[in-house]
Amino acid sequence: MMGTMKEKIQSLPTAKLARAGLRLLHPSLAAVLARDWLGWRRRPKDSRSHLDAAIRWICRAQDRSGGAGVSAGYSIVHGWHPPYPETTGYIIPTLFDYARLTSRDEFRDRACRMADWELEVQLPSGAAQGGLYRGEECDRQPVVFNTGQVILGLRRAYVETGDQRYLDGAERAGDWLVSAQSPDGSWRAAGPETETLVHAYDARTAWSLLEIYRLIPNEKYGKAARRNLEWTLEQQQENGWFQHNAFFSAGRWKLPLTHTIAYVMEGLMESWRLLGDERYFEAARKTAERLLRIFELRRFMAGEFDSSWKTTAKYSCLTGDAQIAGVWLRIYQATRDTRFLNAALKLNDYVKETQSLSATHPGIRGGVKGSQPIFGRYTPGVYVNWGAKFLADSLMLEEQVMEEFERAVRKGERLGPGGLGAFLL
Amino acid sequence: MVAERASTLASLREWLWKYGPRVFIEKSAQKLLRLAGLKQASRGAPGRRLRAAGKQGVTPAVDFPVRFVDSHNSPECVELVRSLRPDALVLRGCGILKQPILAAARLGAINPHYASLPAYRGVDVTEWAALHGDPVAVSVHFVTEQVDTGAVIVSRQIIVEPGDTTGRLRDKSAAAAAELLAEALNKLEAGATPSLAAPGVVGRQYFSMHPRLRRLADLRLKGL
Repeated sequence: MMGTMKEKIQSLPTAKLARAGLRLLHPSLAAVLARDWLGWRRRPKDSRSHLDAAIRWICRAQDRSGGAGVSAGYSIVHGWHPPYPETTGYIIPTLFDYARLTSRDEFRDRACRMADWELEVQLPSGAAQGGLYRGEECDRQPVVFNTGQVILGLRRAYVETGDQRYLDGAERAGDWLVSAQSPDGSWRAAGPETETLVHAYDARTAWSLLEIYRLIPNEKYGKAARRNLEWTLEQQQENGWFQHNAFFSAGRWKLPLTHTIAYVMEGLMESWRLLGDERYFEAARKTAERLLRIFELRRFMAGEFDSSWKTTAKYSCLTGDAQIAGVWLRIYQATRDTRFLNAALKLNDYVKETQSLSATHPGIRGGVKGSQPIFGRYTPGVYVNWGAKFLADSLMLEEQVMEEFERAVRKGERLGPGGLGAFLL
Repeated sequence: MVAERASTLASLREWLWKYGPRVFIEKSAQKLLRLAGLKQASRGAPGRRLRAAGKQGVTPAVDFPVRFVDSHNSPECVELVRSLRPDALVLRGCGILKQPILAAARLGAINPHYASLPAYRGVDVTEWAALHGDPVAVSVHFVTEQVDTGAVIVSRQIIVEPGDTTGRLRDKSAAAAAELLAEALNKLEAGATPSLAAPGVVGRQYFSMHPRLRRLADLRLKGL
């Protein structure tokens, strides 16, 4: 009864407003707002420090939502969000990678807890729900893209542990995806997070089906993935921009964010790695080269672009930045074109400059904002768990690439373009 | 000499917006120091005279007026250059120039570039060649509207010696560039056409090098 009364009081608009006001009084938040308003960025430290901070932030986000699913993020107005099934799904591989890098089982255990939670909240159809998880009783609609991202986590948990439950969960999710696909290869379905029905960034969903196909050699997964990838190629314009790649068809989010543009490139790159079809690689490279030129000439990566790569955006989408840096690093690995490595180092630096390593506030320290500055158009005022995830991925890859690069320099090897074959499975 | 007059207020605003207060303060201080040493002239009028003692036996001493314009691509600049009736334009540290100004001189515009062309187009090319383990060179080429794609007139490889750094190679390249510019102008005056074919848009355009890669370029030179 007392709990109910307390909840009622807490849900009053004035109480919410008061809490938001109190949050904003925290010196760390005031410092963030002041820095962003003045455009004052930090000098980036070594990548390992930023990586460790991002992972610790993810761990705190997991602990804040019960130690299983990962809180979607920290809002400077609303506080910690509930856990997010989609992004928890793709955070699982990141934590396994970090556990391997640091040889610490704590992160492996955390990744397993996330995978267990994904199985708990999986819908009876096998799909993953859209949006944040607010309990069994709330409206939980199945969403294609989110299901694909959860598959990536479950598949990795199976590979790491051999626990059949994870593979069964991934298979159920894969079956649902195959059944929900349109004949043209796209997925057309309404969801709670987007107004648009069809998305080029489902290339990442196709990738998830290919990952299942590697473990369960049932042709339906491979065929469904290929159908979608062919459809994705058709969405690419001659200038590298992808149609059908935004969350909304009108208004403020009608343009694709660099976050969704990078999703498409990631899906194509990973599918190329698994299938060896160079058309997927070339499509990703075409977009990546365009973005590289824009970034190098403007020394800034805007958060969104129209179909002729024009933008009026004054904010940068930090998640998209980290993802693009990761794609550039993979292209460097495949082609040995050092311009991609160079641009990736610079773009990662940009994101590092926006990440506080010393704030006393647990929602801010190590977190990655949706936008730079913080009130940019993408998730204003929120430190998002997927930003921390993609920064961590990109920094882990950066360190690996730079180690190899330095070794080659020390050996006096000539550094130049190479074939693509070495990176195919 | 025709130099661009940087708009101080626009530059300051851009630095503050793009780089934040720390870099803004650094750059402003640098600008103030530069301004203290170089008094700008009024629009289109002859400015201070630039005097440079020539390297003994190599280049003669020069003494010529400096004129300032808002932009090298502005109609004002095109008009000014046309009125001077130059045989050739020699570019140093310019941005991308458009056709009207490039066509303002009888023989065209030439530019020294600190690397082999067309392999290394763009900026920080000395560093990029050193990082890759490729020969470092200086080329003087015709300027077109695209970046470093004009025909090469003369080029020379820079000898890399033990103890060289990328900074030292740049100094060597600058000295070589002065000589090569004179050589290229003599060739043009003699009516010679470029001996090397126009490279077209091949090779790669490089951009400013990240400090981590710059350190590795120096590391590679150290190991030679």
